Amino acid sequence: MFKKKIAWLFAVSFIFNLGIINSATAVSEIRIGHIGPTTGWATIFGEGVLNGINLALEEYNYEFNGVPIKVFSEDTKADVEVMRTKLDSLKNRDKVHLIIGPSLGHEGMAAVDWGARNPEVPMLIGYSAPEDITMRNATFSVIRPGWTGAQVIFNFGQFCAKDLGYKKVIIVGQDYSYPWDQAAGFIRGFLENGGEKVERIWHPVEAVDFSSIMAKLMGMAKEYDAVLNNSGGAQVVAFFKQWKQFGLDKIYPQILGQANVPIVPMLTELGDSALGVYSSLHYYDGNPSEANQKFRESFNKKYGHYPDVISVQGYDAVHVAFKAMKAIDGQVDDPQKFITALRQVKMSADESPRGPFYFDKYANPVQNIYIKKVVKKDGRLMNEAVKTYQNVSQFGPYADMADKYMAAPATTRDYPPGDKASYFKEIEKYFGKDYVEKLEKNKGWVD
Amino acid sequence: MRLSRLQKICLTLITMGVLIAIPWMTSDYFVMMSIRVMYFGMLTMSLCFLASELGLVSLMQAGFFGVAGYFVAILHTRYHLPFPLPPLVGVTVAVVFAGLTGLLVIRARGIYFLMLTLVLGQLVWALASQWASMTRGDTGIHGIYAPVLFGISTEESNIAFYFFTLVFFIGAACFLVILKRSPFGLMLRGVRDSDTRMAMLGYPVALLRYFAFVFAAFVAGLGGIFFTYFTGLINPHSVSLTNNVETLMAAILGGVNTLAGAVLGTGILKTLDVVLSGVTKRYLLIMGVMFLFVIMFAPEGIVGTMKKHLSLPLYRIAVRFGFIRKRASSTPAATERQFYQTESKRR
Amino acid sequence: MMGCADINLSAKKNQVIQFSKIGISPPKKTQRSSIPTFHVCPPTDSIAKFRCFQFINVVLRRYASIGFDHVHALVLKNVSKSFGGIVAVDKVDLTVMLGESRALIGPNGAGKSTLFNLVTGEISLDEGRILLFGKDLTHEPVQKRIASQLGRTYQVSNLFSQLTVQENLFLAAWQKWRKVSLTATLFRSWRKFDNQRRHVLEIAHRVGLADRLEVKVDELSHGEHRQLELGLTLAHEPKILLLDEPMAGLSAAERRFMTELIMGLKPEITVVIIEHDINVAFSIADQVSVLHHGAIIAEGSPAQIEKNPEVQQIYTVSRPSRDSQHA
Repeated sequence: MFKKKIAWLFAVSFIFNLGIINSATAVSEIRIGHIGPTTGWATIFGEGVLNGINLALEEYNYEFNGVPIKVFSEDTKADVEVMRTKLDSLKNRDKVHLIIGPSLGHEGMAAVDWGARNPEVPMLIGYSAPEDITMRNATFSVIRPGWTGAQVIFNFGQFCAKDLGYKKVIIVGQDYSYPWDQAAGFIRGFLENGGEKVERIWHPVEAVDFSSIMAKLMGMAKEYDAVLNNSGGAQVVAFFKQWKQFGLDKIYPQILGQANVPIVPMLTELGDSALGVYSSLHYYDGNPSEANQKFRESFNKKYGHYPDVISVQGYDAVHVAFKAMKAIDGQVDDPQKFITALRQVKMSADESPRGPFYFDKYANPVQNIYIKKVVKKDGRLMNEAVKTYQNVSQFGPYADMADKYMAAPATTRDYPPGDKASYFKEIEKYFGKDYVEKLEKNKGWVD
Repeated sequence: MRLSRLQKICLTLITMGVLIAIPWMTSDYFVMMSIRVMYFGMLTMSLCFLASELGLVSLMQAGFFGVAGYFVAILHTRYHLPFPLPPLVGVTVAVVFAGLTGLLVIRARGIYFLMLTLVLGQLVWALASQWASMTRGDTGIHGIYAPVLFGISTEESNIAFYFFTLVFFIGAACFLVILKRSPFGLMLRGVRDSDTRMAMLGYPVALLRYFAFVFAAFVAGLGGIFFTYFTGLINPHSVSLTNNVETLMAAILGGVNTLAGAVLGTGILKTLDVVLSGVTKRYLLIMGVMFLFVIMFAPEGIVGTMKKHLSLPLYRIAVRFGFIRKRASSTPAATERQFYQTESKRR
Repeated sequence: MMGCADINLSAKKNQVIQFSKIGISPPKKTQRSSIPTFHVCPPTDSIAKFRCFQFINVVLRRYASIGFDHVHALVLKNVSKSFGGIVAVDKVDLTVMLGESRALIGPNGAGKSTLFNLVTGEISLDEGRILLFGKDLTHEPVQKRIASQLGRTYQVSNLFSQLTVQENLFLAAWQKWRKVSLTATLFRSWRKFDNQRRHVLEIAHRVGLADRLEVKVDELSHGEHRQLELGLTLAHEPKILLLDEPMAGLSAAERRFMTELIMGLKPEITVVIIEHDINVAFSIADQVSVLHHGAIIAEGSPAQIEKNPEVQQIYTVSRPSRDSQHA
């Protein structure tokens, strides 16, 4: 009887061992899938991340411990239904070990939904910024080595209120969810640190004629201190141009920008009109760190232009993946192990162009947020950091009341309210009286 | 080329057999693609039905598709209604919505119909992306799970979902085919060819168009249900102009005048989308060139052209090998005889 | 049988040619209605009076086996229509008796087709009234007028060009069978409606298209278009037929066939025909009205009209040559 049990034990452990041995040697090739829009209007987001991935993999010579790495890139056409199909084909047809992407907001939301249904495929989100990917909808297999829209702009609101001393600000932006989130983050930081009022003006996503808005801004100049441009792409260029044409640059201080208004490709389009624009992000191209300089130069050598924050996401994602693979000795065919390792990765300042970061329990990085200003350096426009807020999580100042933050209503085009009185009524409802009192005592957040 | 009843039954059985065998004969990937083709096929079929029977090109079919999908999503995630309710309500709402918009568009024809439906379609899109408290804006609604049917979860098993879709897909196709063959379908074609004459014959022309519009919306809505369940999410892209135009392109590619063309066109477009994009980044260019060729050399679409050029050779081959009895040439006497023969048989 | 007229004339074309061999002039008109009649002009100035008249008529017919047979099929009272400043129809009074064949002649642009459009309701009239079988249809929509069994053909063929002859006729005949349930209308193949199809076949016979049933209208000749045009109108068994130049553009043989076809219609069917070819018009019609600049300038039997100096004057100026074709 006893002997039989021993025999069983042996048999089982043997099979178990065999399994481990197999899994250690089974990976003859590491397959990485990339997903993102590489055609259509959003090409720069998909291409940017893909360029970052390829650059980083080149540094590793497309292999890990002698195992070759293959990249499968799929185009989403910015359509989530197509993306789901492509995700399925990456999983079923190409049998990838890791997916990097996607890059757009709604894609990210759809990807995390897919991730929840396919927990066996680890996914590193690219440039997608909706907070719910790593908040209310967070799932174990989805990790974001990127950013959330609000994370990078909380402190910008604080900076505008405290350091620049603005009391009333107008936000002009495209009418869809990403700018809404940006506005919401800004309002929180601004009003809680002494700002009085934020007025939001939304325009259609594709609008390029802002003359009526310009006229409105002119009329509002008496009451308001500054204007924050909350658009992207061609709309920013048109806005800056008409801003000058209407002579608003003589009435208001320089335009403020949401997170990706003065990113590198935009700077070349905007030219000198972008000089002096303040914005905030978790990366700035003028970062003198060695990692950033190396990244910029090798990127320029390979692609012929300097990288922006989008490529940083792809670049960092690969480095995060490599760090995790090192930790588990290349056993990427064990998803649970791989995902756990990915979530534990800590990047130091000389490993990432953006600076140090690590993941919180929802797998979003806790990282430095830079308030940056556009300056001219060596004849080229560049973002320089004027202030750095260290280790900011996606909950910003609410890190210790994450649950309350998540319980608050989702942001819409006019939520949270933009004037101080009704805004404080709202936060009292969701964050409690103590919090409001603390704010009043400290005159805002404690740095 | 008409087949005997036995041959028809045989053909149907073979087709059914192939459709049923697909999940076991082919890969998981193929099954997934088949499901996509089926739900988008329903959308394209609804467009083709209007285009072929009424000669009207609608740019808001995706609107009905999306309205049904959104209702399923909202009822499922927000109100947690049990299974059969969300899709039932979804399709009903799509039909009611068609009933309302139909009142507006049905008197317009040609380019005006196109423009009106375009505007209404964009209205649906604007609603989907701006009414964020209900539709969650551009982020879309997530976390929709396909139902459990007969104890099998169609969420987890693609095969189960395949059959779930297949049943309704075939149902929808049959529905449209039967409509096309009925006196109602004939009336619609009459309206298409000459609505003044139809009015002169005493037909309620507007009512006929209205009914056709609503029936088409019903099929589109059905497709939207499966779209939502399969992808597990819905966002404004599904009701966007892009989706409408892609549907139209699929219809043109396959051939507007037949439902088979609608399905084939959808199949080709959706497959090429995935396959070509894996090969080259310039696949949109290739597709564009392909469209150019189709429009220049096969304006009736793939199925239409095949029908035109292949039906005679195929018919000859079939006669040669004895699959089909050769019919006497249709002299008046022969036609008459045949007619009365079938008559007397029926009696 | 479906209540159709007996087919007096076979529709076979070869017979038409034989017919033409026998003699140029068409056969003498068949004697219409054989019932003893009272020639009574019903009151048309008020609806109420007319209703009373009709009621009396019905009662008499049922219980006394006599009746006023020659009621008016179509009455136009003081009908006017102008497009912009141009008066197309100018205060026309027209009375067509039941079973009568009336020809409307007149030069181009005299307002003949406009008059038809006013009667069918495709154009709304400016003033005046239209009574069809005693019903005031002045403000009724087209469908209502069709329900009074009005049928018309068009000067330019208005057919379902992508459908086959059979489908065309089926559509025209289907109106009669509307009592078929909605489910059957929607879900049953139209080829399975045997009664209707038999009716269609009969009509096709009558208009000489029995051997072209499965041919698309696009592929038919012009003459066949005209035949089908008439067939469509006949298929829903109208009591009054408005024929707008049925012979336009036909060859001489086709013309004769058409003439015979029209003359072979059931005697109770009232026919109003617009015809340029005066010889044809006179051979078909019992009564002729001459329109000029939108007004009726002469009315009477063919013989009277032929002698009318005013008409002669118009036709010496603008009379088309006998065989010219008007498309």
